[in-house]
Amino acid sequence: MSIKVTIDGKEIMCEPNQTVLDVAKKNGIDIPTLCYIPIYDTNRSGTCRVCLVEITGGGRPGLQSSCTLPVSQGLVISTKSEAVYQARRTVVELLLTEHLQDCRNCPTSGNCNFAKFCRDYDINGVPVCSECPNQKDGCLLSRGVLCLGPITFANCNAYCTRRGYRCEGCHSTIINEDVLHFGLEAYRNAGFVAEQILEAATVFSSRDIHILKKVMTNIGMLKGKPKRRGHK
Amino acid sequence: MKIQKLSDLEEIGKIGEKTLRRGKPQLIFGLGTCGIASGGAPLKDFAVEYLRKTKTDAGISIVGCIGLCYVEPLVDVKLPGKPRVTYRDMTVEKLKRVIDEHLIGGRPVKEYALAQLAGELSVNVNCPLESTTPYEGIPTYQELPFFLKQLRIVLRNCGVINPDSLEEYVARGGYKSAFKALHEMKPEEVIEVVKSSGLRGRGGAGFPTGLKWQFARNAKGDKKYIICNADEGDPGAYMNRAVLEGDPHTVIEGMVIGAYAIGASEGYLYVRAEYPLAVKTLEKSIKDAEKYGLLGENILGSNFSFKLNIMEGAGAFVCGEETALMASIEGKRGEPHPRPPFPAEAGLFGKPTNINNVESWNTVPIIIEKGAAWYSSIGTKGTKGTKVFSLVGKINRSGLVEIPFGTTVKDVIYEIGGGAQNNRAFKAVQTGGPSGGCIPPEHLDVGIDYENLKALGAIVGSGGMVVMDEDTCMVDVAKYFLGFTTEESCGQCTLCRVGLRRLLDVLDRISTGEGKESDIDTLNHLAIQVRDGSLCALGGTAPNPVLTTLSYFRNEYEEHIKQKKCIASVCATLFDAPCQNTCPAGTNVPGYIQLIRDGKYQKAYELNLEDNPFPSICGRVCEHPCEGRCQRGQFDEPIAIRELKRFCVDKTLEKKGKPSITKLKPNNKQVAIVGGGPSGLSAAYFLTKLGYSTTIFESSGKLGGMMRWAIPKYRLPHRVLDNDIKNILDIGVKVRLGCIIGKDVTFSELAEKYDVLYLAVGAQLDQKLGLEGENLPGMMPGLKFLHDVNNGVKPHIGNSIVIIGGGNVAVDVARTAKRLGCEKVTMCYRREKEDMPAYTEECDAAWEEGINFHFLVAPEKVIEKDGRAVGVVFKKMKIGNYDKWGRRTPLPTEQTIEVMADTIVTAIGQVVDQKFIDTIGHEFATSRGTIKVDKYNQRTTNLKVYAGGDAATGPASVIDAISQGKNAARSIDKMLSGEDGFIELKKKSKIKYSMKLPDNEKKMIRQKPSELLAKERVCSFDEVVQCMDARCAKKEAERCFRCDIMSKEAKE
Repeated sequence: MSIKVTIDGKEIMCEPNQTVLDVAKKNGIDIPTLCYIPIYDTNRSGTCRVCLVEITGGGRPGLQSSCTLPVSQGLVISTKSEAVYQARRTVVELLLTEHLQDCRNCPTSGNCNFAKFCRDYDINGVPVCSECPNQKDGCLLSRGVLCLGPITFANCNAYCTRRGYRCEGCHSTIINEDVLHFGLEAYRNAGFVAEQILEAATVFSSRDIHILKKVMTNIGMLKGKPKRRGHK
Repeated sequence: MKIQKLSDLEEIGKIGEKTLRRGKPQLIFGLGTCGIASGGAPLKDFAVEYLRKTKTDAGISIVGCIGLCYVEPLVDVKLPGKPRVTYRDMTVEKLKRVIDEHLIGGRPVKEYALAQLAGELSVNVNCPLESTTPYEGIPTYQELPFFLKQLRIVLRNCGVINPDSLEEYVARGGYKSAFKALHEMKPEEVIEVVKSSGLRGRGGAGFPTGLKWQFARNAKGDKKYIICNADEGDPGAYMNRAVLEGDPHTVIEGMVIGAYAIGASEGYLYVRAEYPLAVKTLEKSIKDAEKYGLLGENILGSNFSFKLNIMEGAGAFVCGEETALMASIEGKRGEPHPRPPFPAEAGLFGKPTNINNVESWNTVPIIIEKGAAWYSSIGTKGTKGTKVFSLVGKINRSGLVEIPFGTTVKDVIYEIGGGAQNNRAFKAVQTGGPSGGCIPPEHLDVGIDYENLKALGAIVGSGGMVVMDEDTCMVDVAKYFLGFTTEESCGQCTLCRVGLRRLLDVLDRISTGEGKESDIDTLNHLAIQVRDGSLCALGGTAPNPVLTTLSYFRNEYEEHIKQKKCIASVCATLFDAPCQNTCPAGTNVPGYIQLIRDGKYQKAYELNLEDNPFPSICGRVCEHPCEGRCQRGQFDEPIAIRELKRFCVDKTLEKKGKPSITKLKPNNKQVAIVGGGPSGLSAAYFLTKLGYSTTIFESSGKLGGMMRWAIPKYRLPHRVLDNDIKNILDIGVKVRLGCIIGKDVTFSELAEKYDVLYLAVGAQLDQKLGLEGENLPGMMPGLKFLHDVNNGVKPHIGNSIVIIGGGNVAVDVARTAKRLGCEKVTMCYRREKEDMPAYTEECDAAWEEGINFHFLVAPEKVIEKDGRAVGVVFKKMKIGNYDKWGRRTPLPTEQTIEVMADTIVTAIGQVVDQKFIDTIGHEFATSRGTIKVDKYNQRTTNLKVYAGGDAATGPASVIDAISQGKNAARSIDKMLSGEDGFIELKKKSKIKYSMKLPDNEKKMIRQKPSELLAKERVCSFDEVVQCMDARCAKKEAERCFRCDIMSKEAKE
């Protein structure tokens, strides 16, 4: 135990030839990961950038991936600084822009890393379905209940639907049109019509109703001229 | 033979010296890649043939690039004992003459010559270029502004030696340093020398080289490697290529010395595959070096062995990053890995590795030769030595320049580069390629070094400097570089792979008119996250162009987002034709030119009236920014847009035509306009067209403002002005003349009675000189002088008049004074002729009319006699250095000059009458005494009050005032009606014109209108410039390329 490092103000003695992530785990400090493969070979990890920590002393200052950063004498690390928070948040937001959010049909729902990240880092990106464990037959929609989960931002760990109540959309309606697509298709397949959904969503999201209407028009749930999103 | 002793080396050197100093006449061709690309190879082939045909006993030498890209292809002639003369822009015909007259005949051809080398140009002292007496009439290289500030260390042999000749390299001192290091120095001593020299890595990061070598030396390992990074991926960077193709042995020698110091036994030269000539040259050089025992076993007879391999890249920008480069050598995909661990500990194949850039290796031998103290005496405190920069873009003299650190950016652009091309305004210089940032004019004084550029948000990087002018769109620049780095991302880490793409999405939306207000903050925040969290320097630096353009050119982003306008006419979705886009009023130039071409003059006039109520005025006095942006100007000459505008109006009036003006249904809203000048009249015109009831309050007895009171009649006859004003009055604008706000009606009365007010009182007072005696009789303010003349009053000015100033008002006063019979008219300006703000055509006309000019004089004291001003004492100025804006600052000398005159006129600028500001209240004013407005909607601090024209901007042009009146009308309409009435107006317009693309891509001269002769015209106030005749107008209209049609097709 010859190397001394400081993580979040706590001095820790550790063996050499390890990464900061290894040492943090062994000492009960939680650093989130996604692409991390627990093999000590720095060429295999460090690419998702979720495990970023900030070096504030004992090395080149800045953000480094903790899964590849070897411990060294006198290294001072912060896992909770503002820079780390912003960086991790941005990573998740970016990943979500390329992520197919068909949460109602995804087996990870209820136990999804993305949903957990969104809760931890205060991101409005995924629908309540990502946190809800009632997939397939358990889904309230298949029982004819107008649950607003598919078009509502998650952040509550699906508190209501886990207990069998429909989601009322209190965390406000999703404004990402790609994600809305999936949700609205689900309603259509379950036999709901545009007016019902709009009436329910108006309770908490009257300000964003026009986005719902726009996507509904685009997929033919509502009459009107479809507007093409974005430029040609 | 293997070189083992110093005497062996000297023998090789003697062979090289013989070919360098040949005793017979030489033709020298620079055949690096760009020499060949600009057509140098056929010139050499011709020379070979021609020399054979004429049986001339002369030699032909091939050398590398000397950096004078802007005048390639170059051919040099050297006669024994005489200077080497460089000929520029050579063709076969010119070469034939040069060979005949200079090579054979012994007399240089001065008109083709650029410069002569009459001595050594670089820091090299071995076998230097002969010192000879220069020929007369040809500047030496040292006298050329391009070379004046250069210090050639890296480029010491480029353009001098044959790159394929190891012997010539040795003659110039090559491999002496390697010998010294291997035989006389210990490895640690070599590292100490490199450390104390202060050399920092030239690849871009600027890490201290000696320290890096130390780390590699200290690392534990049985095998060590060194690498030369010759991947040079930045678009537009070719400094390394010049060295690899023109002087490759410097790199090899540097690597031998470095390998010895570090303890490496093998090395790789990683060259990008897109440099085939460099690869070929290096392969030969390595073979020659091995042959001579300079590489391989027991180098130079010592115990040290070192093998050097060449590795070609495969087209990936990211492989310029050291860990990705090493992965590539190992045969893997070029993906960077996180550092630590650093290559010095575990690099190529897991062994300690030291990697340096071409320029860094190239500098090592000369540091060993001349010593660390010498090298560290060059440069700044933090950054020692020199750097080669590629100066490219919209610059007059482009090429490779090697300058000591500390040279200012300003000097590089103006002294060395000669400023922006075609007299366009310099806008920014981008340094460091796609990883770098833009530097605007306000920071040009900065001395170039790693720290200073980093503080500005830019980087030194590989040394690329791309010059941009006013025709460059900064949003587009960010988009261009981001497009490049997005493609080149290796794709491993989220922030770079996805983040750069999202940044590009936002930039795409902004440049196609779909930007949102929140986009600027989104870009800023995301760019910073990508920069700080990426795995490697590609993602770490790719956001720099975005961040610097946002920081220094935020207004361009805002214009794209809020106004959907690309002021540089680059983002194609946002405009039709650049001329129309550049006109502040947005006049449909291609449309009315087409109508003129088809003989429909009245329709052309009416099309003008849709955007500008004063086409006959602008057709005479506008400064025509449209013509500066005319695309035809890139082909032969810009279209005479202003003259054509005047033509269609004059021709319509000739035929007594009355143009019809579209109007919307009248509504019951009332607008009051204070000021009957161009801005007020324009606002009244458009508001009435939109259906509003407008009343103009004008303090004088006539409408027109500066158009009537300031512009002389020989430029703008009053009948023309009156005709345009009549059009405006005829559509129903009401006027109250002789009405002063605060006296005849109060400001609060107006505010109460009318729904909206528009203030356009102009800047009608002359700026004071601030000298004692300036109010004495004999002194006269310029605007007052012009006002009196235009009002029919003839001021007493005597026989001699002096005018202080260099703007349009000053020239107007001068030419008017001449017409009043004043014999001696002198203009005194504090800078030089080319700096005069007045229109060039006005200055030329003044000179033709016999007006005298004194330049570089600034007024110091008024000379008084008997209570009257009789002259001025001027301080003579001398021209100083360039300021950041590309103008040379005048500095006072000790000398003065007295100019006596019967009348002295001051015309040094105009200011807003503060009495008006007092009347409306100082909460409306800015610190400069103008009226504070939001530049997008022309609104003042009061929601009901709008303002525009000179009163809001300070003195500007007539088209600016007119366009602001139009802009204000639009804003007022949007506020009062909730909609944009201009869209309705456009729908009502029934003017149609042909949309057929013309077939006119052959050079045609620009038609000129005729003018009265100078001698005749000074006797009267008759209009000087005449209207074009119909034939000329048609010819000129036929030259228009109709950029709007091509633009429309491109959008579909």
